[in-house]
Formats: sequence, structure tokens, C-alpha cells
Amino acid sequence: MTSEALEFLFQAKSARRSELARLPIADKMKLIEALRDVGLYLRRVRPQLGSVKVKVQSAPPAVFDEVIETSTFEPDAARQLGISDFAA
Amino acid sequence: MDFNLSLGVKKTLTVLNEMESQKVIRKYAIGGAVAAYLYLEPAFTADIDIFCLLDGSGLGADRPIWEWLEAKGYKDFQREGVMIGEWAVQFIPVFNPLTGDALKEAIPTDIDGVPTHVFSQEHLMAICLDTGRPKDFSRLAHFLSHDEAEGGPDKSRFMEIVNRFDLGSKWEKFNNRLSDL
Repeated sequence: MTSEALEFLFQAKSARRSELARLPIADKMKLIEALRDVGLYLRRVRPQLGSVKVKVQSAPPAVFDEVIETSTFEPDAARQLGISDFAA
Repeated sequence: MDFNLSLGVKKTLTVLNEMESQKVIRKYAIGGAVAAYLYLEPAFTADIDIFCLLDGSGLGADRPIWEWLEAKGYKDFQREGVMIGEWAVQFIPVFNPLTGDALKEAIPTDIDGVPTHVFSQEHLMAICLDTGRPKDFSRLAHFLSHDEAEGGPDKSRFMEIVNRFDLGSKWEKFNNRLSDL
């Protein structure tokens, strides 16, 4: 689930904030769940991944951007997450 | 965007609806961060806050919740919530007139075919104002930046709630802090 969620978030990265705010409620819920999965998963495994740098903060409004923008995925770490295309 | 991910919250809401229909809880609604993100752009949160009305009050009033969940096999706790499906659920009995009003006025909502209730954005804003932690003020400012014409809050309704629940001085303090930024 986590690699799917992460890839999903990379797709969402190109969306504007105003577009995200206007998404249908079920799609927003899917984004919330994807963010939850990625945030919780990466926090837990961070020491093993080493080269994955993810900053997850809980204070809106910038969290969504920070999850995406401060993420640095290096090839080995990305492969461990099962992500083939991470050059977003 | 490809929205083919499955939606885990449907299982959670189905269980909550069952609890409501079996009168384990009298009424429930989604509040907190998940409710806010359904109005604003989504962001990270680990838990889902479920505000509920119980039959009794005081210590032990929530015992029927835990007995029912345990009988159904929901015994796993993560952080401060009980796992129901993919979500760690925090049950929060309404604890003051404002949260009681938020529950009473919660908006019937359909999430991918599953009926539920979500706090109105004006009530979420008033709860943020009342709670007053930095993250609540940040969320309130975020709500206020959304135009009503684009689905943002009804600011006159928000002010009506502020006045009705005697939050005027907190509103003034919030505005002073906002103008200091």
C-alpha cells in the first residue's frame, strides 16, 4: 500500500492547492489516507532506509507540500519502497 | 491523477454506522483534522477523531463502546486510538455545548457510498478558536483564507457561532495575533 500511496502522492504533486481543495470528497479522503500511510510508514522505517529524507509535520497548511517537497528519494531507497519512477 | 486506490475509511465508517444503529452510541460525526481536510486541501494526520453522544455521562459512560468493539474483535490500539479497519479511531464524547452543537448540526455526507456525518466547517473553526493551540490557530487561518464562493466557510454563520458560545474575547485575541504576523 505504501509504495502505491507514494506514487499517488507524486501524481498529486503537480496539482495546485486550489485544485486539491476542490476535489470530490472521496478523492480527498484517498489523499488523506495516502498521506497517512506514507507518513507513518516512512517514520517507522527511516533508520533502515538511511537515504530517504522525509519531513512530516502535523501543522497545516504546509504539510502536504512539505511531505512532497522535502522528500529525497535515492535509487536504493526508492527500490526498497518498490518505486520505479521517483523523479517527480 | 489516478484515484484507483481503495478507500480504507469505508470499513471504519461502516462499523461506526453499525454502532449507531445498535445504539452503542446515540450519534457520531467526524471532527478534527480529517474533517478539516475534507474542506481544505488534504494533509497528514495519523488518527480520525469521532465525536459522539453517549447515553450516560461521567466515568464509565463509554464502557459500552469498548465492550462492543472488543466483542467484535477490535482490540488493537495504536497511539491513542482503537484500530477499526485501517484507521486509529479516537472516540471523543461531546464535552461542552460547542461540541454538542457541532454534533447536532453535523452535515450528512456520503463518502464513496457510505453515509456519515461531518462537522460543518464553521463549527470546526469555532472549535479551533476555542481550543487555541498553535496548530488550531493555523488551521483557523487556513479556513478563513478560503472564499465562500469557492466552497469556503460562511463567515457570518461562523461569527454567529462565536457569539452564541461566548468566544468573542478569544476571537479578538486571535485577530490580534494574526495582525502581529
